[in-house]
Amino acid sequence: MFGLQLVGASEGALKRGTVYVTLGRMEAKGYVTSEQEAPVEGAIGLPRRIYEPTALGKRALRAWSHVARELAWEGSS
Amino acid sequence: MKPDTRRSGTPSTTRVPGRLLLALAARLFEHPAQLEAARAVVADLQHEVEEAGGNRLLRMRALIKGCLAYWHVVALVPLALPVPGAPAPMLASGGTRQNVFSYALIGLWVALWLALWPAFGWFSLVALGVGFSVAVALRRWYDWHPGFESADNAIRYPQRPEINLSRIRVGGDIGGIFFVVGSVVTVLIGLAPVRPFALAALACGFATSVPLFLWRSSHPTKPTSILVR
Repeated sequence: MFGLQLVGASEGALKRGTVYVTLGRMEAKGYVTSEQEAPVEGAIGLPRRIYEPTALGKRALRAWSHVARELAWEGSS
Repeated sequence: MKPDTRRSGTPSTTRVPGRLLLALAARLFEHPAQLEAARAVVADLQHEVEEAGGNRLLRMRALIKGCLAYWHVVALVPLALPVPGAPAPMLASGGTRQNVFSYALIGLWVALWLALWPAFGWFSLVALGVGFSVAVALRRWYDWHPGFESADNAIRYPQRPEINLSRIRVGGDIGGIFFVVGSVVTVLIGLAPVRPFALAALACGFATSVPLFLWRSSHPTKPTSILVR
């Protein structure tokens, strides 16, 4: 997904001013990879970057979701 | 004449939005990860403007939102995407702790400036302008003469925010000249009676330094250990 698509999909949780910084940090930690989109004929701007989660990133997300669920359950009891 | 020129009456080269922002990012950030974050925001801006087509309102909206996001990134990148392992400028260096110190020092400086405004007024603003210009000149000079800032010095004297004058490194370089000239001018402005003495001291210093310099130049085997480290 592109950064702006992530912003749109997050329904306000991500801001366009912070999404690339976050993605940059995640890429440095190996949670996501990125590549430039193929150049489009006649496009005026820079090519955007397409981000994709790595296996490590997916695993980290699963672990984080699990912990968050557990903590939420602890908090609600 | 090209087809699009006939159609619009303007040259065929389209003015690409965000070029200035890209150039600025290239000046601000050297590390690829930092630069990439700024480029990504500009790419979004450009694509949104392109998608807006001829709708001026949508184009303006895309430009404003893109510019806001760009400046947000510029402010965040030095904190969130530090340059790994290299001696770096104050705000672009690694480590949140150091950046916190940097921002704390800036906050302290702003508070001091505001507190002194009733006493010094516009003079403080002029001093600010001169100080900023000197800082930029110093930085440009070191950029043009990178050999003066050795790796050894960079390790021994890391660029940290300091308000303690004794921690500011002054060597036999352009920084030393700025420091000496600035100190002398400050004293001469404040203490008018010493001005004749300063002129005499300047003449004596010149009379001493020229023969000394010539003698040192003609005897290169003698180490100038005080001036050159």
